[in-house]
Amino acid sequence: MVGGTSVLKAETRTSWVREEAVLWRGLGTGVVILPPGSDTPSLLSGSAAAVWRLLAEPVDLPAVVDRLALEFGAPEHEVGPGIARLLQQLVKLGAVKARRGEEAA
Amino acid sequence: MRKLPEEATDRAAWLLPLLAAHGLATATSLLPRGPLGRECWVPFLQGTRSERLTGLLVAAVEDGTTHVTDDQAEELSEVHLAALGRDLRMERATLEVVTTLEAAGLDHRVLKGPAVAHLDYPDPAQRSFIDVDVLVRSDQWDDAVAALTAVGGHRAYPEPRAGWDRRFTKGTTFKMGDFCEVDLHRTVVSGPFGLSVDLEALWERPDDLVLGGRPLKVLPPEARFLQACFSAAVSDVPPRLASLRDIAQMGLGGKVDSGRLARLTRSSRAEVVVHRAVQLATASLPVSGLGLLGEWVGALRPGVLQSRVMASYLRSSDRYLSQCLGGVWGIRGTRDRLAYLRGLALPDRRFVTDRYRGHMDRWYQAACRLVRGHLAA
Repeated sequence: MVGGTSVLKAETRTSWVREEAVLWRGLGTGVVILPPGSDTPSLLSGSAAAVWRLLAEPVDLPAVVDRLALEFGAPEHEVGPGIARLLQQLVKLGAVKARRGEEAA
Repeated sequence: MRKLPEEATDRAAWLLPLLAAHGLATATSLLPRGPLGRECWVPFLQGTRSERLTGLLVAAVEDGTTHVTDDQAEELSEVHLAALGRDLRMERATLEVVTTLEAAGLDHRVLKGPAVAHLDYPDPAQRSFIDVDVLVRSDQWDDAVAALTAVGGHRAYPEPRAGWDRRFTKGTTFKMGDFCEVDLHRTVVSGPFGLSVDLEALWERPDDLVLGGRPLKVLPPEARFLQACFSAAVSDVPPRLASLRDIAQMGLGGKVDSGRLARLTRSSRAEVVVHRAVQLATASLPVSGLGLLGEWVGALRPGVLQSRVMASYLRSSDRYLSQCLGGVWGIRGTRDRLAYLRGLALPDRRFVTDRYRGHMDRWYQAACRLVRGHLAA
């Protein structure tokens, strides 16, 4: 389980970015993605779609949390753990990759 | 402007061209503010789907041009999600075909759907498509067929005669897996115009498209426009509204160079096609014109022979037969014309026996169709 401020600090040196091979389309505020290796498109909506849009360039977790907290008007400590979990899910799906030790945008 | 029809289904059909023109700089009518009543919404959504306009309807709702109820928004989202999912699967299949052709060292261009959606529309979600179309060079045709067959592709139809396809066919359809069809093209339209197209010009100055991180080669804007004209003017009769929208979208998009388009159209002997496509688009969609390109097309005066060939595409019966005969017009050079006629008259027995009892039966039926066609005319 990922969560808390210490995790956010630990994640500052890891940046996250979309896998280039993902095919995708915008659908209103959502995003439909078809990651490599998957035959079934997935719909990302709400904050998940917002995260996807941020990940056009490499971004570290604190920056993502900061932007999402601002966009959705929620405290960082509340949105942080959820975003960390989402990123892990997107990595598992093959839609996003983590870059360790690289400078984030 | 015509009056809004009373009947709900007529009203729905009346609204579709307005939707097809949504967002164009020269659109003269907007969709009604809405929301539509249920009796109109149902056929309207159905028409939107069959005309492949769901992306434009979503755009019209998002920019506030038209309003829908919460239920309608949900229905629209469901329909559009299905279309987008199909688009993405087709793009995946396109990438797989390109990978296969590249591995075999074969030159290719991605045609239609993905190219037009990504390069000619402001958002690819506005332009859906249903299949995969890739162009290969005539002299690499047999290798391309072999490459797709080697990865499990099945041809829908056999070749009429050895060597026929690489010289005369528009292309062939491969069934790849359970749901995907790939149209492998040698040229961009069937029949006489396909034989007349300036194939060498199609390979010049390709545009680049990046799909899933992969750089792909696609036709340049003028050739994309010409292919869109073939789709709108002769491939589907009557044309889909999405095809007419393509004409307007590209015509107003500023990427098509009218000088280069004029040269390609002339060398392909396709003035009548471009003229008809633009005429259909401007007559069917509520637009005030297609700018400078529209003016150039308006001044075209297609020749009599081209107009006769065009008529062979628009016949209600015997279209295939008259297009086969019109192919003689499309082919350049006596030797190739003779080879074409020989292939038409004497295809391989394997090709004939699928549909006829033999060559005599095939000729007899063709003659009967010709006579019936003349009597009907």
